[in-house]
Amino acid sequence: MINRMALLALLLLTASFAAASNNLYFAHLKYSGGNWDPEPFAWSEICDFLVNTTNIRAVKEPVAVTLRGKEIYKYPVIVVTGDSGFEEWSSAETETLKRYFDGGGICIIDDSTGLNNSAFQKSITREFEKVFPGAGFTRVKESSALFFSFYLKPGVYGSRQSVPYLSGIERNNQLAVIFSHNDLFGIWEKDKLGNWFKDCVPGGEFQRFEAMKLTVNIFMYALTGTYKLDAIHTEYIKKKLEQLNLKYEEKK
Amino acid sequence: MAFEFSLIALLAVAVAAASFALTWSQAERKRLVLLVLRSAAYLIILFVIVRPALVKNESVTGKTMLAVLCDTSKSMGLKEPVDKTALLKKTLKDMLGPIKKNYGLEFYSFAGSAQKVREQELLQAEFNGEITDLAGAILQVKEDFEREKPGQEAGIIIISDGNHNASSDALSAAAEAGLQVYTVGTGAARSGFDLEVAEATVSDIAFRNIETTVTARVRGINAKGIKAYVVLKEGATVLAEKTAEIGDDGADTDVVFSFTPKETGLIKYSVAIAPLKGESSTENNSKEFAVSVLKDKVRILYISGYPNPEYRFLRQVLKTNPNYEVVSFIMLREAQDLAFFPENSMTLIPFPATELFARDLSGFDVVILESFAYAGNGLPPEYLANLASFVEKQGGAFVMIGGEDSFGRGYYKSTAIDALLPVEMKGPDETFSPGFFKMKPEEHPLNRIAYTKEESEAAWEAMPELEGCNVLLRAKPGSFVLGRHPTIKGTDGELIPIIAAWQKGKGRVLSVATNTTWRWSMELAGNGTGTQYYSKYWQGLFNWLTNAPDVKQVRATSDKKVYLKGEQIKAACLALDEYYRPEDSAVVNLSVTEPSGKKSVISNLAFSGSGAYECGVEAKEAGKYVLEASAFKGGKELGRDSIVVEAFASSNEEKGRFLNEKLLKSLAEKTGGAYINAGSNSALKIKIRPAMHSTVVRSRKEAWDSPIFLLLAVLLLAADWYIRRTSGML
Repeated sequence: MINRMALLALLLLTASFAAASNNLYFAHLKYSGGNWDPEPFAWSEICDFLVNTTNIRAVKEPVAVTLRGKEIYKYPVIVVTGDSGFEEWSSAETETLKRYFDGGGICIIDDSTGLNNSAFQKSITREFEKVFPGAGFTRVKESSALFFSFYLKPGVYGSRQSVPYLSGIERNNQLAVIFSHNDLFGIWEKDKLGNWFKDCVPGGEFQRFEAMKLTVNIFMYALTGTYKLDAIHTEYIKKKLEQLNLKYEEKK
Repeated sequence: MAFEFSLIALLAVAVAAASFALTWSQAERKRLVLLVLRSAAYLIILFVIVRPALVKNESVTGKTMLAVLCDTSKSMGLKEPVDKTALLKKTLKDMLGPIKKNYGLEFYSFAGSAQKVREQELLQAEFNGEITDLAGAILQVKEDFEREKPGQEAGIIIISDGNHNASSDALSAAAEAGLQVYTVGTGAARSGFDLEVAEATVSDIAFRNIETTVTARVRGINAKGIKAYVVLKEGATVLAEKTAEIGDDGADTDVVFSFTPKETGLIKYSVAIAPLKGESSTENNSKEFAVSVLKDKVRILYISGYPNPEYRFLRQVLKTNPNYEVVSFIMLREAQDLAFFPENSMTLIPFPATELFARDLSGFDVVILESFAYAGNGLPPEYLANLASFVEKQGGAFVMIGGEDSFGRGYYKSTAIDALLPVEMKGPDETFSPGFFKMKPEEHPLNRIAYTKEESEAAWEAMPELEGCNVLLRAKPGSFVLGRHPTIKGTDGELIPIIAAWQKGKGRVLSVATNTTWRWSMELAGNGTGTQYYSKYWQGLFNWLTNAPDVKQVRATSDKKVYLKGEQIKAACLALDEYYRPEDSAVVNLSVTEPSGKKSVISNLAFSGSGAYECGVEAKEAGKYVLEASAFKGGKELGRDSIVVEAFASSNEEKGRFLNEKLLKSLAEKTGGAYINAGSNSALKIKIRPAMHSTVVRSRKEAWDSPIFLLLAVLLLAADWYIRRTSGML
């Protein structure tokens, strides 16, 4: 299944793009309390993969942003990670995030515990309830453009399989918040010898590869939105799914 | 009455004064005389100031009025199968004789419009009207009666062959007029075997790619049970065909066709019955009509060189407009990218360059290339030439959005796109300046993102910085620049253009030398001012690109898109000021180009309220009329707009050999009148009371309005002065 030669070549390549605001930054939200950066080496691997396998122009150097000040508005995509509960955001911080979504920003959240109902998840749910009162997280449908943005219907995995779906909050007919519960970024970290830090349980390497595809799709969605739901693409996607004996569910 | 009262009062005062004067001393009498003189003068002045009037109600008697409408259209001049002109003259001489004794008659000739004439003129009338508009004539008579003989009982006698062929509805007009209509059928009813397309009913306006219907009304004479083959054609191309079974003589059979217009513009269609052997006439077997086909939606093709925020944000703006249909392609990966997973696990489709740039380009209205390099994407030069032709000849719009793979860096120098753009670029070594900068907006209506000039300037002042731009050489002569870089200068010494545009041939082109306008959306939201200026600005640019009516300060319109030769084109123009508010003090002119190419100008159109100005233009000949409205305010042109309408040759007049008895009978029946055939020897019986009748007329005479009062006041004051002088009282 894997093109070994390609994998070898990939390991040798360490390309990325120069800082320019139209390129993809890993704008990582730094918050108080808890652990805002549980997987500090993941982005470097994700960035390489994105640059080498897709046309995304990703910047390798991660950027830490906070909800205090206006720096966050320079980045149309932000990432929130954690493995424990964190302090409540102030009303000013909540307002900053509200405005961020008003402006069209997208937020990707990964729970590094890989557990359902973790303390991190509870903190996230609490804070986003303030940002989107009454909206709340819902299950991202399998018909979402996210599952077709680059790879075809990747499995919803991370280093764990505790929740079989992604959660999200929609705004203006597209996902503004994408929440992975299964420690998605954890699958990317390697030691200095190139060995994976974490095993993928229970699916092993198949689970890792599906999680890699899902990661690409999430970042691709953050840059292209619902592009793959345009009629011109859906016909093609339907055909491919038929070839793979999979069903295409119309988005409602 | 007021006049009489004033005179009596004056007289009473004078008598009282005289009787007192006889019993008083000389000094007292003088004082009294002076008092009387002055009082009388002041009373006269007061009388004039109060302006009394005499009002009188009188009973006036007169005859019941009948308007005699004589059809002078071409069909009335036809001699076959009967001489209609002779029948008309016979009717005027013989049939109207007895009516004249009891009724007051007013004569009109009508074809496209109705004119009052003398009876003698009708006997020498020329039958050359290009159209028969019974509805217009009836309504005009109604207006004349209301204006000239209000409240008086009246009716209408129509002498015609009933071949009404204007687009208005004669029966509705008769119902609206509320007058009894008497019709005199002039001509012979249809005979022999004949099939006819009586009418083709369709909306004046249809939309491209959206199905519309036309109802063809077919009928026949001595053709009951015949199966007629009816076709709908666009030019010579048959769009649809149906078979219709003809009913009783004169009974209508409706044939409904559905068709989907593929092109925009004024498109001619026709419905025709295949002629059958033995038909008495085949001229009436077809009916032409035209439909103004508009765009259903603005179709936008957006091609992006790589996944990036500019694409996502701009696509979102376009997607929120229900009038836009966006088809987009992003280069999600390149040939040199590694395939870590098998190809069939990806959702990528090959870039359909040939389909987009060679086959389907004309189906779009706007093409956007954003960070999309010409080199490396498999586009032959011919495809770029197609794109240039799409703009210049087809009237499409083109947008190039900047980035590291756009303009010169995208290898567009010396291609067809180079000539298309309103800016000059360098070659592949073009500089991409990476820094932040705040765009300097130029004064231009497209830059008005708020309601007033001041608000707009403040909004631009608060606009966030952009990041990175293509360092272009300069804006080309003939283009207009909307925004410039604040510091980098071009080869012409001016600050380089960031946003520039121009009209190129029939189409429009926009150049945006940056791909970070999404920063406006994010940072404006961050400042708490919302994102409306970002979306409004792009929306305004797309309105301009697609020539949407929203951005026109001057908009030309007409009451219809299709007329018949001889009809009046009601043209109107809406003039708006630079903030799109109605401009009520504009000077609006209309340039009319007739089908023959002859041009004329109607100056100073009549103002009809709320920025609207209107006039009428007679469609004297068949063909396309180009109407261009231009509006001026204080010597400055507000703008101009043109429309095209079409006048059809009224070939129906030549086809109208027979009498349309059905319509004339219906007109009479529905209004309580009566129908008679001009060839018969019967008399036309008018049911309206012929007797003289009275009407109360109210008259008013201004009693004060006479020089006598002025003279009297002067004399009284002069006498007063004389007495005082002679008595040493001055």
